[in-house]
Amino acid sequence: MNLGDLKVYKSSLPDSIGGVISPIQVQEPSLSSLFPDVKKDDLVKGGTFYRKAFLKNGGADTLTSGVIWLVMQPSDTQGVSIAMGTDSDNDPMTVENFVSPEAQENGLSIGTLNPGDSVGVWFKVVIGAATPEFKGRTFFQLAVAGA
Amino acid sequence: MPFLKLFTFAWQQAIPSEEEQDMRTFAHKIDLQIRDENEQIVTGEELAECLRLAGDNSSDVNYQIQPNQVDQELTLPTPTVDIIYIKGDKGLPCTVKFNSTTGTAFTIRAKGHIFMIVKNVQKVFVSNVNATPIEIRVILAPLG
Repeated sequence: MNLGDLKVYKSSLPDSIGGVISPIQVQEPSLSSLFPDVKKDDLVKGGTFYRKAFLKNGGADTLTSGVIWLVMQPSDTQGVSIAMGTDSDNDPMTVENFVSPEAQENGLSIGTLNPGDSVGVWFKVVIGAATPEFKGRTFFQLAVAGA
Repeated sequence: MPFLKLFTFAWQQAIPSEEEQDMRTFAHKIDLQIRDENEQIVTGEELAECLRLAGDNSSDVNYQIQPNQVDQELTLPTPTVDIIYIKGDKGLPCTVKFNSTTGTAFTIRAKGHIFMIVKNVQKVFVSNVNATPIEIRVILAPLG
């Protein structure tokens, strides 16, 4: 499977906060359009927001034994956790088991992605209170491995 | 062959919109922060989200407050409302006082726009200390 075959798509609800896969691909390399800009008030008093995206196999080969994990968190005061979504779930409040796996060994299984298949992934971003203002972008990295 | 790909997701700190900037400048000038009944700062985004949740149940009512009125009670279309958004005449000070079923009551004084999220509001009083009438637009939304 080629690296370019695995792409990220937004979910169908406004701001990609859940639902089915949408036709809107989140453009790489910096997938900044998935998450909202963080307001100063959010940094002062803290906040939590959710996004749902889909990993889609756009190639001709199959990805097997897929696993996802977080190789980098945004900062000490901004944390990301992930959970598996269904094809159409749309309420992050009903999603359980958000985790922040830091290694492949304890990552979340996404199983097999045949050509054209996709899998939903929930992201929970927690902005801690008194987070310092920042210039530029803050980012985290999601790793996808398989065979 | 093993597959490994890293996706880098990013966000940035928002640049305040012109309206938000106006609100902050305005709030700073009159030493007012827009807060809800729990003393939490209310952002325009939160207000918009509440209004979105309220959906079609919101009422949009225009009131005219005559000069030199003190605590003129607004006739609310429903007994209790959860959200109040008041858009006042820019530049003209007015005082708005809320009484809620939870017993909280407080008063704000402001020029121009007033954003408020107040739960279980039963009564709203507006005072106009100006020599001219003021027009205010009130969006009242029960959350259900």
